Amino acid sequence: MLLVPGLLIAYIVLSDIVGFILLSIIIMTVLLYRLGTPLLSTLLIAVAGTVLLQLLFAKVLLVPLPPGLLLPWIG
Amino acid sequence: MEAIFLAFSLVLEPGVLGVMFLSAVFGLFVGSIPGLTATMAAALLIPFTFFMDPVPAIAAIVTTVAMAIFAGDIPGALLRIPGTPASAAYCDEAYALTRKGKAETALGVSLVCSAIGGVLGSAVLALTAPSLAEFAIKFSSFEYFWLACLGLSCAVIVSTGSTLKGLVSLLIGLFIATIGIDVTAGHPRFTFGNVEMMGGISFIPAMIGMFAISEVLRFIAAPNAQHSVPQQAIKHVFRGIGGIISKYKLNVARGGVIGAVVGILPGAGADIAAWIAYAMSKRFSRESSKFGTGHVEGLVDAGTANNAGLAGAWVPALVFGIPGDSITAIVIGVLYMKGMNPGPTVFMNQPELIHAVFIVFFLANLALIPLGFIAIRLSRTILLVPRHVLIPIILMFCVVGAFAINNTVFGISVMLFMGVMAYIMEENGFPVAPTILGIVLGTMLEQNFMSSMIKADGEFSGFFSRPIAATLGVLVIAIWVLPLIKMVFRAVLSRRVQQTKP
Repeated sequence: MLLVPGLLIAYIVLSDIVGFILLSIIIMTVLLYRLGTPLLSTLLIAVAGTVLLQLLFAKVLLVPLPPGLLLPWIG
Repeated sequence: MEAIFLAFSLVLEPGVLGVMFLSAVFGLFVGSIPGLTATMAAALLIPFTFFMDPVPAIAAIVTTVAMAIFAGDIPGALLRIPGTPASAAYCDEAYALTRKGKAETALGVSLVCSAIGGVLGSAVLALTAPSLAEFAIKFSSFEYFWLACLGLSCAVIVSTGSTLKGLVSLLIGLFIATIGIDVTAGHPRFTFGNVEMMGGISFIPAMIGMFAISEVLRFIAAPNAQHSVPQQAIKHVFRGIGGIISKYKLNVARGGVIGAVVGILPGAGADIAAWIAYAMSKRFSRESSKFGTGHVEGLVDAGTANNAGLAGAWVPALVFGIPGDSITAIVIGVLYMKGMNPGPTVFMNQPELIHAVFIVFFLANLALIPLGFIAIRLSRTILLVPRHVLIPIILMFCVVGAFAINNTVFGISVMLFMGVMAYIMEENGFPVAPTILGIVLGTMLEQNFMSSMIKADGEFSGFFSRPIAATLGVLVIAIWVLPLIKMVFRAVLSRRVQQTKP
């Protein structure tokens, strides 16, 4: 029950350092797995969903999502 | 006349039509998945509308919501789970029809009535809003103060559940609206020295939280299993619908009127319109004993009413800036963000924008027939989409959306806080709509109160010195006092009864 608020607080605190992509993959993986998705499809959906959101918001809508640790590759 | 042509040219642009088509697909999808509501669909759209011009932004919200409210009937009829709260009133009836093997009729009636209701509601909107605006242009801060009071009072009275809980909910909203810099004196309130709190709680992350995050939390708390879809051929959706509609044409008209009127009342939206229309239909029907056993009459009334209610809610929103339901509260938030404050001046200065809204309404409801038909044919596939995969994606989408408004994590904090609050409130029977109205109207209420007090030199009698203001003021006070008088009257009466007993 407290999982979602916990994950969101983690995002609020860590997003500047760790970055959107890594955190989003982690949050989605935890949630998907918790909701009973098999591990392999969990990872696939988490990565695909994150990439989709990153492309949509950062590339199309030009929202400066924090790159964090991945700065050297996507900055 | 020129404004109407200009409005057509604004709407009939490939970009706007494309946005409407995508929004329609999005709305049908979200509406037909149980647990994802029409209001949530509108909240999820906000980050996009933020980057659009006013006309496509409004078109996106109108289309999405009209489609979502109809699509809510699909799982209602097939699974007995309303896709949106607006279908809850007649979901048992529609499912009873499906059990009789008449799923096609149930969905066909829902679809055609939704479209007719939407068009009726749009007509009410297009006919009443401009003349009301002409009247409202004479309003000063006194009238607006009373109007805001009236809107907030209505929101409490018509909210579902107890009036006291509605009032608490409203006060929470008004409190949230006071956070930040005071509008008249410029004094920071409840900011705890935090610079970001000084700007106040912005609508958008708050609404994403209240409508989307709260749903995510509810799903995580009780992840209900995927439902099996009944194996019933749904092909000839429109067969026999013409006969049903012409048999119940009075019901269609009544549903449309009830929907539009309930929609206009602040705080009551499509869901309450559907409940009232269904109850009225049953009450006045010649075959009321058939209700609940798979009788289409109630479907006609309520299916028309909920779509008519959507358009009705835009009347006070466009004319006075007072939202008629949660969805128009979101719309007002979006319009404010674009620097376009809804009110009678928009009708005078940019009539083409207002006409464009009307055109979008008609267009969206007419497009409902073909697109809704496709959605019904695809319903089995849509209902198979696993919700536990969608929920995490929706959560991250909300995070990015709340972030995108100011590009700070403060938006995410606001979203989280409001989402948890809305979840706790709803779990304990507190309606959320009054809170939303409190947040949206709080600033307007305060601003108009303060400037009225300044104009009247601190004399409260100023609020009753103009004829319209005085009428509105008396009306508002009557609404406040009537329940009290009723209570006292009842208490006195019951005491008399006790005294007469030996």
